[in-house]
Amino acid sequence: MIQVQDLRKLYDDHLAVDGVSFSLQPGQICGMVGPNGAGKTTTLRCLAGLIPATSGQLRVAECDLSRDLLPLKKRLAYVPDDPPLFDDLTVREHLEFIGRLYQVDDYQGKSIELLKQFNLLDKFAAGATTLSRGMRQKLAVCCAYLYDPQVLLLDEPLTGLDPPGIRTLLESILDLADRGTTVIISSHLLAMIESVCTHLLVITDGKRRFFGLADELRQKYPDAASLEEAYFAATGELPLEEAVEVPVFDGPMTISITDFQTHEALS
Amino acid sequence: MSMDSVRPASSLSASSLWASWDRPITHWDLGRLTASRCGFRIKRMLKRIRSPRRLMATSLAVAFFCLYLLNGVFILSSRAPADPERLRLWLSGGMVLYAMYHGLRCVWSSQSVADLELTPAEDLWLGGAPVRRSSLAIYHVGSMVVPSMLKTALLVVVLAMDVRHVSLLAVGVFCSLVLLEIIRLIIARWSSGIDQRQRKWFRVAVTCVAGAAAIQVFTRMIAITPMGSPTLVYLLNGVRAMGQTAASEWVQWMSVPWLASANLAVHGSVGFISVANLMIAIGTLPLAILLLVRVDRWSHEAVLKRERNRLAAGEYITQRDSWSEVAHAEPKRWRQLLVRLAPNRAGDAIAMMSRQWVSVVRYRGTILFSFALPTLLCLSPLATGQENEQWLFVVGGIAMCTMLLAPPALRIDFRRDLKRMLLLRSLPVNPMSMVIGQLALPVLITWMYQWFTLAIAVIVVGPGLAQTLMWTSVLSALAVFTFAVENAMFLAYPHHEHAEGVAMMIRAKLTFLGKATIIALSVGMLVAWAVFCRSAVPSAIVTIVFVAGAMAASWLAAILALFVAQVCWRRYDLCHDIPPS
Repeated sequence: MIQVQDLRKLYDDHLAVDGVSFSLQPGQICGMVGPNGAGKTTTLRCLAGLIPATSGQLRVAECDLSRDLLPLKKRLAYVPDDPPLFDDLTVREHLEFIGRLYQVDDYQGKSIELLKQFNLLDKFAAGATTLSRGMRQKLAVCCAYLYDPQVLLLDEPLTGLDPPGIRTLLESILDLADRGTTVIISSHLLAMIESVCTHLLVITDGKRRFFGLADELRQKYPDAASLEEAYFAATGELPLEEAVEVPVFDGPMTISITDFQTHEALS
Repeated sequence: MSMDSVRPASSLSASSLWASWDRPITHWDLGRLTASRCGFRIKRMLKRIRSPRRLMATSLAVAFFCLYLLNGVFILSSRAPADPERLRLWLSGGMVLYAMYHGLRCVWSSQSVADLELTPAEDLWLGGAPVRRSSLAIYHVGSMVVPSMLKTALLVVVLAMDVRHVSLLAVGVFCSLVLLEIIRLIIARWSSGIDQRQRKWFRVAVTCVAGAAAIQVFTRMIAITPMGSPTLVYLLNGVRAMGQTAASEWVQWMSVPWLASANLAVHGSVGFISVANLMIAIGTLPLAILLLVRVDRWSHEAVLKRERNRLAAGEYITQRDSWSEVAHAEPKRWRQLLVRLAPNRAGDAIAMMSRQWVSVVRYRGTILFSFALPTLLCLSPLATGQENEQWLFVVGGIAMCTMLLAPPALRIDFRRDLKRMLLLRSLPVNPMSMVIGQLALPVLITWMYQWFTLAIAVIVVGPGLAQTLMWTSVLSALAVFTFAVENAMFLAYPHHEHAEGVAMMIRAKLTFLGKATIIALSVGMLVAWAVFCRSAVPSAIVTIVFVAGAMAASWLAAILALFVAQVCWRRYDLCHDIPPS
């Protein structure tokens, strides 16, 4: 369902994604994790066909991204972090527009069901500007679910959601996967998504550090109490150690960066 | 299917996104989206204009509309009608001159136009939807229809006297304006696709063409104005010369796309020829959209091809390189020194200025270009041979440019920070420091422009120390006043950086009228002050009193405006004042 081979993406003179490869089958859920600026969003945007890959071979939902962007967009849904909405449309009009554009049968009935599921029905006639961050996220997810995509890409979907919202979203992801949808969830909250992920893709510095079953990562680090700890152990092994000079007023100071958390905190 | 059978992402040319057109149902859905958005905006506008916070803006807008209509009905209708042939040439040639101006802006601007000027929401929901680029282009052109209709309505009020059929004029002007917008977008997309070397050549070419046009206007003005005429005659003839240039053969050759709509606008009778012109004028629009789609596709491919070439050539840095680069970056010594030497109370304003400085350095080319032409225009009266008036016209020109051209050219103040208002509010900077920090660099750049132009005029005319001192000081105060008022207005009635539409158009007209009124009032007050000084002050000190009074009054107005801007910044409400996009 998703096949990525040696994906590379260059922004101006900055290589954001550097040779990432992985593949997922229908019904699999992949958690994409990595520090800020690791290249997760760029990877997702390339997969969604929103930006062209500089090089690499990408096949998503039976579509070759170098030629079949239009059919791909019918079968794929991408929900970005803090999704931008039309400020001059209501919640109902958003769903109506998506339903019409994707030619969804009975989109009105499905919209009501989705809004009920995500506890957004009382905002049916509200303008998008009146929605909170979490509500905007929920509406974008509802729009994405409306046309039953074969591939679902979620970028930081839990940010801004309330606990019931997180539970509903995770349950709905499992439900979609049961029906054969391939899902990628990019998130920093590994503890939150570990219960739903079948696979994990760890990216740092634009490179793939680990891809495989979540259980494989656990087995690799038997001392780790949780998947999150196994993730930290895995990224702690990465060849990140390097000495950099940080100029300060009174002269250069040498800091040795040895672990992922420190690296993330500094960057 | 194995990965071996997947083609490498070699080219976008085969992509289905650019192939042919969508079914009518897609356009219908996009049309419904536009209609829904328009409906929502109209409702929101009606609600907003009734808001007490916007009472003054609403009253001014209503007054403007009434005055405009009254002016159209009673004043413009009583003037002698213009020659239809001249009007036709002006309409088509004027569009070419505007397109040329836009081309010039495009090549000198550092910002490229990506994805047909779509908003982030459109980029996500339409860019991610199964919609071809041609449909997006048509959708975008559809969003230009309402603003173009309003512009047409305003132009029709002014030109109704000059034609027999107002309906033909309206259709002709409307088609011309929509076509101009599409061509503007074509130029912008093409400019986004060219590489740095091509951009340099394009800069030279467009600048040469624009320069040639400017020289033509100038030489025509000199040719039709008798030597030694009053400067005002030169100015009026300058407008005539511009019309003549628009009507000239080479401009008319370039205006071929607008010929049918210009013919239609001035047609004397409804018949076969006018219907043919109508068909051609309307038919030009889909052709232009087709060209836009082709250029858009070419632009995407060109950018991607360069990206791939850079990747293949290894012309990039990896994430780790960039991290190391940031870590090794030397902090600017002069900035540290400035912050250390500045008085404690000014420290926060200087910190704000240092941020603005980054923008000034980044856009230095555009800023220099924006002030080059006004400088030449302001100095042009020096060539008229009218010694008595030269100085005043140079000063008047600088004042006009300071009030009308400097604010749009230097938007590196609150006006570009709408999206960052929350951040600005959260900074531990007192309101006056914030205002000074935001305004200081635009004002400084305007001062540099003023002083440079004045210095040349002083060398040529030699107006004397009192005049030089007074005007240098008054114009400097005017720069402070202008930016303070501009920012105060923005903070009272904020708008998005690239906002368009009726509200913005009325706002621009009202601001222009307001500025013109202030200039006229200032001149009146200065004359009154001069008369008072001459009659009431002993002649020995009349010059000193006059100059000191003028300087004090102008700086008082400037400081007051700064305080008003500070009040507006204090009053700015993050909940109520952020306009919807």
